[in-house]
Formats: sequence, structure tokens, C-alpha cells
Amino acid sequence: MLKWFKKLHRHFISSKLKQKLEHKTSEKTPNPLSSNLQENLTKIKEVFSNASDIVFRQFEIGSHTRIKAFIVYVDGLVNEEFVQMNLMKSLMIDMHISEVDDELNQKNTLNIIHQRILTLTEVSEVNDFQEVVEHVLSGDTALFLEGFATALIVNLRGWETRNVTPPDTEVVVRGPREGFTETLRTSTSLLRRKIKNPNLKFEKMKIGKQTQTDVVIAYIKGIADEKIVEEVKRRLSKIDADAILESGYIEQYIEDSPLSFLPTVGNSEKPDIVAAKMLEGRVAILTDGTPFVLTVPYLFIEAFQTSEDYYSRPFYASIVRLLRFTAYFVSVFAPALYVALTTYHQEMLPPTMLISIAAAREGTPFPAFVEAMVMGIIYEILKEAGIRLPRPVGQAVSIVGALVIGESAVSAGLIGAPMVIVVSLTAISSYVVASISDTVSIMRLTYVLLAAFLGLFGIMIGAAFFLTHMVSLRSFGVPYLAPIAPIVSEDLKDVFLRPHLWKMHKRPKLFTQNDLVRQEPDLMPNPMKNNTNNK
Amino acid sequence: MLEKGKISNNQFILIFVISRLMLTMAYLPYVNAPPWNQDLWISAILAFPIHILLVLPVYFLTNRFPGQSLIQSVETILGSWGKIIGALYVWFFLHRTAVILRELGEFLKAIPYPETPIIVFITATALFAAYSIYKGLETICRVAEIVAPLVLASVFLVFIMIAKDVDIYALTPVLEDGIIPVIYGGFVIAARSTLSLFLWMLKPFINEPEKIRTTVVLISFILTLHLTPTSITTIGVFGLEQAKILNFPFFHLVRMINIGSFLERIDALFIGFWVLGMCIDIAIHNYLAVLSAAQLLKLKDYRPIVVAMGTVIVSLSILQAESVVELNEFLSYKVLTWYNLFFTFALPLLLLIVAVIGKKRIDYK
Repeated sequence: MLKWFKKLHRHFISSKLKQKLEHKTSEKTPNPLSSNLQENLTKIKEVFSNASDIVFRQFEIGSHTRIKAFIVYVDGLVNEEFVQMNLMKSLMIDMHISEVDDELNQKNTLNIIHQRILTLTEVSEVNDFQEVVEHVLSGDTALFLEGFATALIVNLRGWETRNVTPPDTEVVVRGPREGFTETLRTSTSLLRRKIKNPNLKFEKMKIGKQTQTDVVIAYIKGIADEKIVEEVKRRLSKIDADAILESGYIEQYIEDSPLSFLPTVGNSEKPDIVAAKMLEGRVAILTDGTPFVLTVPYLFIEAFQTSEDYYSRPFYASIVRLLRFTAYFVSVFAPALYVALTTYHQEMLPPTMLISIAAAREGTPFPAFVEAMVMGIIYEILKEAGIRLPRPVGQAVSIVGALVIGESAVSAGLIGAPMVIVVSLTAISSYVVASISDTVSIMRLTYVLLAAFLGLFGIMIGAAFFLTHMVSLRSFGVPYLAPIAPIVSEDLKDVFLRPHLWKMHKRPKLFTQNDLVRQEPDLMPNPMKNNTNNK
Repeated sequence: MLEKGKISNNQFILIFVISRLMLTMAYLPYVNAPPWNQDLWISAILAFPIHILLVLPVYFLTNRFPGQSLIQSVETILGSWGKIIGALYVWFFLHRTAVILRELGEFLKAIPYPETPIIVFITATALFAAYSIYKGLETICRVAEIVAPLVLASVFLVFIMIAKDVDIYALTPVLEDGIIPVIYGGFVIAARSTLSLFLWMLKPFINEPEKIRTTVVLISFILTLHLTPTSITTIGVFGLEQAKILNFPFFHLVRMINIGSFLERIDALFIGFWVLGMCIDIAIHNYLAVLSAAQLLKLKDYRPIVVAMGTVIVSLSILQAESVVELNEFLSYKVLTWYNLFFTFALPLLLLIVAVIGKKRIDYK
């Protein structure tokens, strides 16, 4: 029966796929340009009808042989000054003064303009109508000439962009402040400035049937695993979505386990972080229109590593990393443990602690479980409100949250003071590992539920389930919990502690097998020894 | 192939060690077995070579039939008659899972949850086992890779923390009743292990089978390293007579820990780790039961029978004994030693002899 269903399902899917493919191929029919200028103009005006931001400008080139021409561009996407000075002026004025004007005839115009007139760097010839439209919409300027079935595409892009500013999500004390911007080209330039190496590759793709969003796959050839690069390309090319408005769209289309609550694709806003990840063999996916760059494969421990660990000296960095693990466990387990200990295992608390907890809970109307759930949910609401509310109102939220729900609820005897302590501790801890704090919320509430039903045993069964789930996940072929389970002993050194940089002379083995050695194994600085050698 | 995953030798060590340790950590049945005196720690050391000896028949069999698991090689040796022996082994794994499940339930019912029905714990754990079997052998072993070091580390931490309370004179006189009961005791301890069957079932999935000898020795070594201090501390803290009466000697040992009256009552932590370890223990035993049944029935995929087997195991674990006393009767050295020995040593030895006489073997390509 089950098999029959599966077969049916497969049949259904494959027929759909076939339809899709046929649909796709029909879209890509060639649509060549005409050599008649007027025909092209009407055609392109028809396409861009009722679009007030499209600019057409008709003019003539040459003084002896006059050739009609027109340009098309989208107002606001091009730098108008450049269009005037570099395109129009050179075609209409500079050409007349130069000797080129004499050589001009009906046949060589295109060639002469391309090779000798236009003083612009990015000029290309396009024959296909659809392609011209795409270029114009991306911000290029198209130049059509009478008698040629080819358009010259000139890059004079320039639009309002945000400056490179420090990102709000990944704040550092030490380290570069710059963050990616919404403009793809700026983002790639930031990466290129970090890694000045011809092996840094940016492969371009267009995704989204309506939005035609530019997406760049960035990797370092020779370090990144070719298989992973191929897999990324394969998954990206399979995306048949309508729109890609943010890299989150891409993430949800390429992740390994969409049904899991854990993220298997990483993101960052900072070029130094992405560069470091690429140097470890990962692949980055840059999306136009968002500063968030995706990195794959993404492992669980990446949430515990920050760029600052590597910029500051290793001793305190290691302690901080251990603290992060502690904070993670606190934020996941604290409310559940509180519920389990106060409801099921009171005998496991030290007597004095038990007495003070019991005294604080004296007279509170709800069981610990209800308290934990209510406080947990209220905290989530406060958090969401704090993010969404306009900044002046945000103050009010924190006052209401801290005073009314914390202080007053306790003094009114509605909620025990220990619960407020536990919840606030949890809330603070969950921001230590900010990048997975959303999954922490899910886990925390689940554990509270399990603790209420089965106490410590429930928590542990839940932990076993979560652990099994996490261990079974993969991100682009790499096990999600990788250096820990399965144990990869060489990579384990950079998990709980942060070793000296000269100790990490090899790249992580998980992502790549290419070019594993970063540097000489013995680079421990030893100034004394060097001095004696110099003498 | 039913199972496509591969496990490393280290994973095999950890998964076996954890499945062997967990019951000892709660019940410690050896106290009520030969040599019946304070020489238990010597028996624990002597179990090391005996343990390795008992694995030998299976070791030779796996060398003779490389790439074949228990069920498959039994069928190669005996033909269709092998199905009966195979069915016996399926029963063995099934029953063992049920026993461990029941012991988990009995412990939880006895100590932290006196009022909760035992079926709750058994069902919850069986559900977890079914889930992890769906995820496959690799997943179970990876979870073991995370949990086992934690459990091992915490056990050794317990030894260190309890060391100041150990009365070393409780271990004297040494060899009070002579060496024979001590050797018998070592034999009983070694015979409880099912390493040979783990090896037989899982060797096809181990990625470095040529290093299996080191692996087996390492396993025996770790077990000895655990059991010797366990017996020394248990008897040293409680004294022999008290240790015999206690239902859960090691658990009570953990309760005794009190360092400077600020590090105390860590038994909650212990129960936590113990439950985690038991989950893996049950998952791997349940997995072996499911895998062997699937191999016996020549299924293409073992997933369809997971839930069915789980149901059988839950019912069996409830029905097999009226009370914990009856269960302990079965688990005592008088029954379990010989029951285990039949499956782990005697039957493989017989099969080995048949295979040698019948000149049956599979050659490496």
C-alpha cells in the first residue's frame, strides 16, 4: 500500500517536473533584434509601456554619414552625469571633432563606436532582445544604432546606496567594523579587499523568475572542495522561485533539512568573518539586495566561535568560549531544571536552598510549570515587541517589562521570585550565542514541557531525542555536530578552546581535503632565539 | 545492504563500553556473585584476560566470514538450519533489550519516581530507541560518541571524589578463601559481557576491521579500568555486607559524596547521565534486534519492523517478571552467566567447529 502511494507520488512529481522543464525551455526562445531602428524602438517601448522611469533618447551620430541612434536606460539606476559626459558627449560632440568621423560609414559604425569612441570600460554587444531588456533593468544603458541588429550595452550604473557601516548584528570590540551592504558589487569588493588572490572566484547567477536577483557564489579555488561548490551550484540552479528578496529565501531553498528547527546554513554580515570561513574551505553565497551573506557548510559549533576569538589573545578567548557553552546550556536547560527540581526532585536541592525557594513560592497560585511557561512566553513577546516597536516607544516596553511583569508580579504574589531570576538569567544567556538564540527558545519551551511531565527523566529523554536529531543532520555532506560527533581529532582543538594561531597550522579537515597546510607547523614566536641567530 | 553507514573503531569501543557500563553503574550485580568476599577487585582484574578469551571463537568466525554478520554467517555454515539458530539470536537481542528497559524502569521507579507507573519510562525510552533506529547505526554511534566520554569522565570523577571515604582495610584480608573463587568470579564478570555478539553483528560496518584486535583489548581494558575502582570504592565505603544488601550500590555511593559540604547531592546529575547512557544502551540493543530480524527475514529495509519490534519489546519487558526480585533472579550469576555463555561462547564455538570441519569460508576478493 505504502509502496503504491510512493509510486503514485513519484509519478505525480515527475510529470510536474517535466511540465516545468518544458515551460522553462519555452521561455528561452531566442528573440533576435531587428536591424531596423524604428522596429526596435517600438518593440522596446511596447515592453516598457506604462513604465515612467524608463528614459528613451533619440539622436544622430556623425556629420558626413548620419546614423540614427537611441539609448534606453532606467532613470535612477544610472549615473546621469556619466551618461551625459561620457556617452552622449562622446557620441555627439567628440566624434565630430576627431578624425574618426571621416571613416564612418553604414557598416563600421558599431565597430568604431565600440573600439574607438566610447571611453568607458564595460561595453558589450548583445543580439538578443530579451537579454537587452534584462541588462536595461539591471541598470545598464543600451545603445541602438540604425542598421545593426546588435545593441551596445554600456555600464553606467549608479544609484543611491547605503554606505559601508558597522553592522548591528555582529558587534565587535576589536576587529574591522565594516559590514556588507545591499549592493552586490560593494560586497564582492569588500571580500576582494580581504583576499587579494586570483583564486578567489565569484561565479554569478540569476535567480528568481520575477525579481531576477543577482547571486554570486564565492569560494577560493584550490581550498574549497569542488564537490561542495558543485553541490551549491546544483542546488542554486534548482531554485525556481518567483522572488528572491533576501538571502533567507535562498537559505530556505537550499538547506539540507528543511523540516529541522536547526539552521544548516550560516549567515554573516561581516567581510572578515566570511573571508575567514572561505579560507577554511567554505563557500559563500552573496545575494543582491541584502547585506547577509550565506556560508555553507554550516556547523553547530560555528555559533560558539566569534571573529574576536581569533583577533584577541587565546587565553581569555578560550575562557570566553567555555563561558559561551555554559551560557548555552543554562539558556536551554535552566527553566526546565527549575521546574523538574521543584516539582519532582525536591530532595536533590540542598536544604537551605530548598527552604528559601519554598518560602519565595509561598502563596503563589500557579505550579512551577505554569509559571515557567507563562514567563517564557511573556519574555518572547517582550523580545518581539522590543524589536518591532519604533525606537521612542521601545523604552516604554522595557519599563513595562521590567517593572510590571517582573517586580510587580512578584510583589503581588502572582509569580515566585526564583522563577523571575531563572527566566532573566535564561534570557541574558541566550544572547551569548545570538546566532542560534531562536532555536534555543524552541528547545527551552519543549524542555519545560517535558520536565513538567516527567521531571529529570523527561529532560534527559528530550536531550537524547534532540541529540540524536542534531547528530543525524548534515550540512552539504558535513555532519552537523562534526568535530565532536563524529570525532575529528585534528579539528577538535578549535572547539572548546581557542589555540594559538601558530598551533592551527592546518585547515579543518571537514570541509576540504585540498591544500590542508596553512603554514609551517613551528611558527611559535621566539625572539630570544632569533636574536642570538642574528649575532 | 540493510545498513549503509560505517562506524569507526573508536565509535565501536564507546558504544560497547557504554552499553556495558550503564547497568553496572546502577545495579552492580557482582557483589552478590563469587567470590562473595572483598576480593571482588581481583576478580575484576582477572576478568580482563577471560573476557578476551571468550571473544576468540567469534573473532575466528568473523575472520572466516568477513563482511558477514551473525545471522548471515550462521546461514552460510548451516544452510537453512541456520534460520533456527538465527531466530535464537534474534530472541536473545530482543530479550536483552526488554531486560535493560525493565531495569531502567525499575531503577527510576525505585529512586526518583516512586509513584509513576513503570510503563511510562519504558514506553518513552522505547520510543527514543525507535527514533534513533530510524536514523541509523551511524547516528546511534555518534550520540554515543558524545555521551560516553561524559559518562566515563563523570564516573572517574566520582571515584576521585569518593576516594577520601574509602576504608582500604575493608579490602583485607586478601585472598581469604583462596584463588579459586576469585577466578570463578572473574569468569562470571567476563561472561556477562556480550562483546562477541556486538562484534559479530557490527564488524561488517566497522571501517578498520583489521585493527579489531586492538579494539577488543582496549574495550576489555576500559571495562577493567572501570570495574576495579568501582568494586574497591563500593566495598571500601559500605563494607561488604552492606554493599550486598543495597539495591543500587553505585548510586548510593554517588549519594555519599560530600566534599566540604558544598559539593553534595550530585545524584541528580548522576541520574541524568545514567538515563542518557541507558537510552543509548537500549537503542543499540534494540537496533541489533531489529537488524538481526531484518537479516533473518531477508528484508530490504529494516524500518518497517522497527515499531512492531518496539511494541514486542515493551510488552516483553513488562511481562517478563512480576517484580524486580524476579528480574534479579534471572540476572543473578546462577542464570545469566550460563544463559549468556551459551550465546556468546558455546554456540559460536560449535559453529566454528562445524565450519572448520565443513571447510566453509569466504575468501577475500
